Amino acid sequence: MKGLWRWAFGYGPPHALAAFRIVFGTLSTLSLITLLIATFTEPALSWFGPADAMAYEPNPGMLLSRLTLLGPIGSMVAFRVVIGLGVVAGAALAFGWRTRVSATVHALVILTVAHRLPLAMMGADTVQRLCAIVLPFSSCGAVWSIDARGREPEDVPLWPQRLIQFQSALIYGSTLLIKAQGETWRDGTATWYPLRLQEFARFPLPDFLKSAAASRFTTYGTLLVEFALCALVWFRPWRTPVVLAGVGLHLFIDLAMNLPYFAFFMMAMYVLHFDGEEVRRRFAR
Amino acid sequence: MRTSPLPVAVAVLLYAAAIVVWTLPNPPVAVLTGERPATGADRLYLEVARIRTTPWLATPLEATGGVQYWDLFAPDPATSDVTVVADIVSPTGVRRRSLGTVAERGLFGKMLAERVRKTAERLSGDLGEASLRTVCRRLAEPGATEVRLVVRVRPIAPPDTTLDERPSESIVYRYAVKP
Repeated sequence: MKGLWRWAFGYGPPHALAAFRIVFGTLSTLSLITLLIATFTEPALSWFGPADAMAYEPNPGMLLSRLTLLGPIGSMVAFRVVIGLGVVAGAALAFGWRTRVSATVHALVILTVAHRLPLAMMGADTVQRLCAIVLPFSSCGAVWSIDARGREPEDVPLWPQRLIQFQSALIYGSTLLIKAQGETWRDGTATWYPLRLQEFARFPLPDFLKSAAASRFTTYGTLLVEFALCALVWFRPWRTPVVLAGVGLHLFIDLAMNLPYFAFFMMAMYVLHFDGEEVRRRFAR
Repeated sequence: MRTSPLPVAVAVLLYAAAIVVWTLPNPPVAVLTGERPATGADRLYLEVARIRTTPWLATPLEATGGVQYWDLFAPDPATSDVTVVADIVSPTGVRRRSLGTVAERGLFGKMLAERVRKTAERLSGDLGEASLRTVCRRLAEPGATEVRLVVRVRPIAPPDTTLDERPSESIVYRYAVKP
């Protein structure tokens, strides 16, 4: 029990958190730039606001964040300014410049977006938000950052790393439990359908990948990989193969389906399954 | 070995416990509608659904942005392409307006439009009347007398079966524009 406590709440090298900060900050910045452009090209994004009754309807996945930089201001111009602030803060986070401040501003912008566009939130937004709210409490700028130039890295609290690791496993575990209620996941036909949805299609897939036999393989394969990413990833000998399987799963989904940034936010979290010292050694080679 | 202060650890553990509770599945629809009794895990899920609405759990998670529910392609993936269009009726005729379809967009266009598609998907789902009314109000153009939200469904045939995959349409909401 003591060992587990030390693992969760002890101190250790900051390199895994720093690597995550760089990747996450970059992805998050790109995602906010995409959103900023969408506010100009997609008029529908201005139809719904926090003042609308829809935002408060009970749905466990859609409750609003109460933290917002906009308060009652509903103007699209103000919203774009806030997104722009998030872009700057996200880039500063990736470079590790004034890391604590940039991570905090960035998280507040992400929460503001969730508050402003409650019906337009995608899975990627949720992953982005759940990671963004942890980073201000972390010492993710302690190494490989502008802030840390000329400084020897010190050990940092590891609980933010453990929390995001846990969050990643929870995503796979909870979706597995929800899928257990579904008929198509049990009979092996689940992936038959999404690969034929025109509204989700990204790149065309070869026909053999969409066959009934391939659907059975990808349906049960998805469940197996999700189970591994929830449970087996915690065991050191299994970790690398499980992470590679997760990368394969997400790259396949990303090629086949239009789920912007989701795969990459999910894969970014994988780096936190490795200890800081391992990450440092890997990049030092 | 150095560890974080106990209050920090307690706060982290409470947050972790809260998100576990929050992400447990909803009970199946048949249980919610009373078609079949809750047994096994469904009893736990029913209890969790009740706990989710309590302020001591919902408020901190809302405040921190920790709310989440991972039902992408679950419990079953969508078995039909669903799009939403709005028919805007005015004395001069009916104008049809698409509410976020991404199928015909280019690669970057799809990325831009995905949020709108997501919104339309939610509108065609279980959102209440207030949401639909709000959307119709936004869509009402000057001179419009009525806005109809129309859901178009293109079913996908299950493996080894044939099915008419032509889209069908149904009006999900009518909004009479106040003069």
